[in-house]
Amino acid sequence: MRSVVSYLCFGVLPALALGACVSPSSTQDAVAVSSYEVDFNHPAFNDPRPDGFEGASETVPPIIAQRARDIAERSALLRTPLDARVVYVGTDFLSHKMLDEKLSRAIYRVLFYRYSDDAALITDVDIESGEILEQGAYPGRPVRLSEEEMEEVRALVLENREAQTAIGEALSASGLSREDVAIEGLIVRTRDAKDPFHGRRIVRALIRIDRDYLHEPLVIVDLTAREVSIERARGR
Amino acid sequence: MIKRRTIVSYLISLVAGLVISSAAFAHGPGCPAFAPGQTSSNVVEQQFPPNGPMETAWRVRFANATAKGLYITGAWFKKGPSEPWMRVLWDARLADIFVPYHPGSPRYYDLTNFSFPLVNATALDAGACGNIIDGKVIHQVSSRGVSWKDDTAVGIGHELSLWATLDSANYNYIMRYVFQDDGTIKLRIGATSRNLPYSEYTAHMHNGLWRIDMDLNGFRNDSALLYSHSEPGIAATDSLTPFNGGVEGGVEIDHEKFTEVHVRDEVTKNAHGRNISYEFKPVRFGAPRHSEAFAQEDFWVTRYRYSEKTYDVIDSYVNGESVTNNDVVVWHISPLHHDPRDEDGYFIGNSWHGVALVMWSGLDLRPRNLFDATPHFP
Repeated sequence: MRSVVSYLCFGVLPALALGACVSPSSTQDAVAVSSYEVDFNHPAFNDPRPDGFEGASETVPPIIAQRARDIAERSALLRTPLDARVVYVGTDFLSHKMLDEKLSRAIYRVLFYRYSDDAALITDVDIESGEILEQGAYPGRPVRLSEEEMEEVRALVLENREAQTAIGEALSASGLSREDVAIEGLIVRTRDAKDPFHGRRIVRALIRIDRDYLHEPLVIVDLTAREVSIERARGR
Repeated sequence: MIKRRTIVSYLISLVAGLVISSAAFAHGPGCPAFAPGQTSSNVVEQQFPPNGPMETAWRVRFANATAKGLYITGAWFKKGPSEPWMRVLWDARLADIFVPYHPGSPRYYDLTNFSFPLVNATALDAGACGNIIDGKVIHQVSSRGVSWKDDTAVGIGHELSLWATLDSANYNYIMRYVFQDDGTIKLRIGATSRNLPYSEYTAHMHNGLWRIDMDLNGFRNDSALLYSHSEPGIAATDSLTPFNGGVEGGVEIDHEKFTEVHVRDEVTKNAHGRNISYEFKPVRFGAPRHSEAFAQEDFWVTRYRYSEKTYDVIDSYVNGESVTNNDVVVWHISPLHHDPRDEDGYFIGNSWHGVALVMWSGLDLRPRNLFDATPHFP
């Protein structure tokens, strides 16, 4: 188990910057920190996460994510032709109950997205044994954008002339600079087979200038076709 | 103009933060008489009452991750100073947040479709006596006001809360988990921040899609039950029957029936010989009947399977397995109906300026027959 740290200071950097590490018992109004003995050997206290995670984070560390990805990519499902467009999205941690509460094994879920059929390719792996526990292709199931895809969205938006014009106008009006511009993306999904977005990787791009978002243009990025479409001046 | 306003706003926040932070750490006269207890970077413990001999206590393990936000990975309750820790939750979280807009599109899945991170917590978030853990999670202990009255006698309750904010592009979601001194757990989602660009006045819903893996005194021997009220005439009755006949399935909430799901341990009994259980009480203002299959029911119950985590395909998990005397998972949809109003903001040129004030939904998990008598009553 990872080391257990006892915090008596409040907060992290902001608190330390203020030199504010004072015992809660320094005032009669303060309530005592729970004073009974903590049984760290209590089986239920065990943390099911393996080594490598920090603090309360379950965001999978890169080295573990890579190991999980390697195992998944050995499967027939992911041994795809070079021209097939399959992107690695990420690896998630899944804790798992075993026969007793004190036992858990580390299972990781590796996510890929396949453009040809709008499918989430999901592989659950045990990196200790190198075993694939479950695997499947699920067309239409939600799967997040990879970092690579988000970069592609940003590039496509910033290359678009109408988006450039809108950003330029906003910067002129506000006196802000290009460093204050951020492009964010929201995946648009539909289950309606008649919808033109159905079965495609569609992203609604948001243009943020400092803390405010531009109302228009509406920027739709079709990652499947690698195209941008623009809509302007619909009623407010 | 915007820049000046933003800078002024930041300066005000900074000064306020410094004042509040100083008060919190110095525990000056302005600081409420509550302080958090913490035992590690992903576990908090709190005894109740916070400033007296322990009567009850919670131990809560939590975690956060990109695309998942803040969630509970274990909760244990101590119902008396000499009682052992008893597991109540294996895991409780928002499995997803579903946001369909009234025209039919877009329809967002704000957890599973994105890599949204948690926002860094600030001193203002933590308040005078709050604690920031891991830079993201707010840990607070506070009064919850009157917990009981008996003429001039009164009981003041306390609670431990953990919360964090998910940065969902233009929107923010507050994920809040509250553990009361009487064993009650409150799960809440709060929606706030900027309306969707280009659709600032389009109504929509934010549905919290909860997955609650309750392991009452361990994961074995738990049963899901359906609680229902009936009042056909002047007399009324209440019933508790096996959920969906004892097998996996879903149920719509009927407000005339006060529909609830209960999870009962079939082995552990209190001193009166009654089985311990928890009531799942919805906190919401309507029934979201979106076209998706998962939204056709308000509660679903499935047998625990480690790989079954996705609310969007929950109907595919329902395959006739027993939810009686087993390891069960309860799923619940809690909607927020957001019909934009002028209080949400206004346009400055081509930019939207302002935030939608926070709205809350969720559910309460209340103990039934967990104690032998009224908790915290002399």
